[in-house]
Amino acid sequence: MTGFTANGEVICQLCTEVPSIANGRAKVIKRDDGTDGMEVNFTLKDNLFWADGEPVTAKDVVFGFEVEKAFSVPPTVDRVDAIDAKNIKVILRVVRYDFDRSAPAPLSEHIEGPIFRAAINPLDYGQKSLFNRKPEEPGLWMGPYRIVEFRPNESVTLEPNIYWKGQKPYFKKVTFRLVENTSALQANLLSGAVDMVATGNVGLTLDQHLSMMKTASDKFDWEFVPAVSSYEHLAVQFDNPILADRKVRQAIQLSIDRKTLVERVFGNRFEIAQSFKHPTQFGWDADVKKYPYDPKAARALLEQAGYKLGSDKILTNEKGERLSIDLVSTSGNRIRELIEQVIQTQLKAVGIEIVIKNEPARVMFGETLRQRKFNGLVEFQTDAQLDTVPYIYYHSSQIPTEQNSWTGLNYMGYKNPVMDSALMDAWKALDSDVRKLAWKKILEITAEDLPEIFLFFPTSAVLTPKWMTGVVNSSRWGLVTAWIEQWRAK
Amino acid sequence: MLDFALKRFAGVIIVLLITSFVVFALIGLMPGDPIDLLMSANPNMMPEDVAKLKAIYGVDQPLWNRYTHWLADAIRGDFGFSRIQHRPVIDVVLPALANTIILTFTAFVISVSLALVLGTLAAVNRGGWVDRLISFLTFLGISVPGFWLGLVFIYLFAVKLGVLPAGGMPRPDQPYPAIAYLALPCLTLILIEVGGLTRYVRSAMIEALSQDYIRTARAKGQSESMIVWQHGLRNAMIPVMTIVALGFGHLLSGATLIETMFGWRGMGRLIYEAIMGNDYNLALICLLFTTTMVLLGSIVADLSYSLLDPRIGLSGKQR
Repeated sequence: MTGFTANGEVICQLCTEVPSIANGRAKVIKRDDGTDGMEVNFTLKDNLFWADGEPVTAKDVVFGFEVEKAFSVPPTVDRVDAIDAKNIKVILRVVRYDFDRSAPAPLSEHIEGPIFRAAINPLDYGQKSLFNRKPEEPGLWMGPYRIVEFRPNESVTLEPNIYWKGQKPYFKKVTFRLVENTSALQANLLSGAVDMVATGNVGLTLDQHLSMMKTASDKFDWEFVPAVSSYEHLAVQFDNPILADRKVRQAIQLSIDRKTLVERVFGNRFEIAQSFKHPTQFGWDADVKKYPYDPKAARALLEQAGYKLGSDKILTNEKGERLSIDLVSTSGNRIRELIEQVIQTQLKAVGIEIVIKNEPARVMFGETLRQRKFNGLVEFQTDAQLDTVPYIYYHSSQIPTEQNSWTGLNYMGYKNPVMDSALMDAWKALDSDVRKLAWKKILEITAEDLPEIFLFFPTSAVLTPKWMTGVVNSSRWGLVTAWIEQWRAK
Repeated sequence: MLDFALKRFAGVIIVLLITSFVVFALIGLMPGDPIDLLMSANPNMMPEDVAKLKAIYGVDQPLWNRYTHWLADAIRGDFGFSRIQHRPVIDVVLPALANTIILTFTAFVISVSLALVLGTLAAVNRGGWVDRLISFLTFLGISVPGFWLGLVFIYLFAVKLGVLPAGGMPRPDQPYPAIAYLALPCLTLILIEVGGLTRYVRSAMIEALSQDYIRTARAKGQSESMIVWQHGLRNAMIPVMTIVALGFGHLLSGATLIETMFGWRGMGRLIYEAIMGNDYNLALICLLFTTTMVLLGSIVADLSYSLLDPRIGLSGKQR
């Protein structure tokens, strides 16, 4: 229903106006149980049609909510009602700052509705849904293009949706191919078998882009777009008494020379992360505590924490325990393995021993992280939505446990009542000034407590052939295909 | 022979049953069931939803219950749905199998034919420059990694020369004919396979050509080509047939690296994706299929001994 500008402001994609308290489309209401909730009203644009000619209506939005509920009940949305063909009312169970993006995505009710209602459970629906059985069905799609050919695990071919009323798409056919090997992908690009590659972690690696910029700049243009909602970091295991000490965490942050890492490994294309929040985003506070590379200050902190240098140049505490920490990341990821080695060397220089224990991504994300089976640090990238209050990452209720079926993303086991309170304040704040204050608090606590060791914000390299334009949109956030109707040949 | 074949087929069934349970158990032990993967995509999932979905997908059941449920369905011909592709497993496997047969059968026939010729030439010219040249080439074929070779071919033929596609499956809207898409993966597979096969043939031929009956045939005045190709090769084929038959069984499990490199949608890639995606049904059927092919290859090898050498009885006794 809604999208974002590059700075994280909410914009309408399918709606006529972003709901706000000021324009009367959103208001706080009293629920039957006496608690506060919200009523948010959206109006669909008039010019939206499914690719079979049927108009997109409020019924489709309500249906989208029904399907979503069948798999997992949205924790804060009470119900979604169709007021008329174009108007939707969303009732929220709580007061929340992101009410303006609470409308579910529409699903084609006239195509999928009968299938969904005939299914015995969500699994049965998934197996019978035309999204899986026959994605070429025109009525499933409403954007500038629709799927005309789907070859599972191979390719998807799109042609323009003749009922699309927005900017007319230029290309008569667009095919997305799956090429799993990055070297083969690069070869496909150079041979002309493909014209573009996906951005982010899915396409070429950064060093492939940097290498091609030297050898193929006559064929392609590059633009580097910061991934403002993704960041690379080390999650910290708070159950480890060594890492439970804030001084140790701060010392680790001070001991990593991120500037040199970004310059040497990433050709200065990545940005150092002082926090999980990118400086261009709402809520950023430029006065937040920063951690430059300062091994001297790190050693001083470790001394204050009671560590002294042992004969093997590794710090030990009063009990004689060595300051040795495991570092886990995804095996087979060359860049991460390189970063780990750099971190290992730099931390050794201050007397911290890092033992690298990598695992396949499947194991690390499937079990080690989710069930908190690591005992030191874990390096990975978090990809969040724009303008997300980091409730699921930092609130103490979001620690995965066996009792809660390992839900929640607070893998660190971080518990800070002051942070919990700041998170809830930010989450409930409808006024942007109040929210800004809450964000300031969250950033201050994060910078002081360091529940994660922040490394950098990655950058997406957007590669386009010289004959193309319109692929990069510096005012919008999202995958480049979100404005595919703007792609043109020069 | 019929008796032998029936006994062996009965053995295949037993092995498949055991294998199916072992594979099912091993996949079950892997971290991350389908619901765990759903949770990764939807961090707002509540514990109640997790429990509900685990019950629907059946992953909250003990391993033995899940296995017997699967087995009962499989016996009825219902191999279930692919969790990743949301299609019946058979609909996923059959096209991949067809693609693998096209690629590997073509490569296999050419590899075996080449190996028979090169191995025989090397054996007949043992110690000479022909033998040394062929040996060098076969060592090269054995030593060079297949994925590297594939990449070199892509850069040479697709990027530099532009005469063949860089990969993918044949498509009607592409400038190259369908056979062009087969060329590079096939060539890569041939070069990987032919080295080892040639070594076997050479070794078997040297052994066969040193036998008394070869000397007798020469003494009787038979032509050298008849001695080599009729007497020598036929006897050399017995050990070679084992390798060929087993190799064919393995080939039908696909060539994962080659298929990934060239974007060829075959069984190897399918098996890998099924295992990595925790797609129980698909992984099980694919792995059982490859097990069956290897077992059948072994049976074919055994049956062929008797055909190649009537002195060998299938009961294990020499006649």
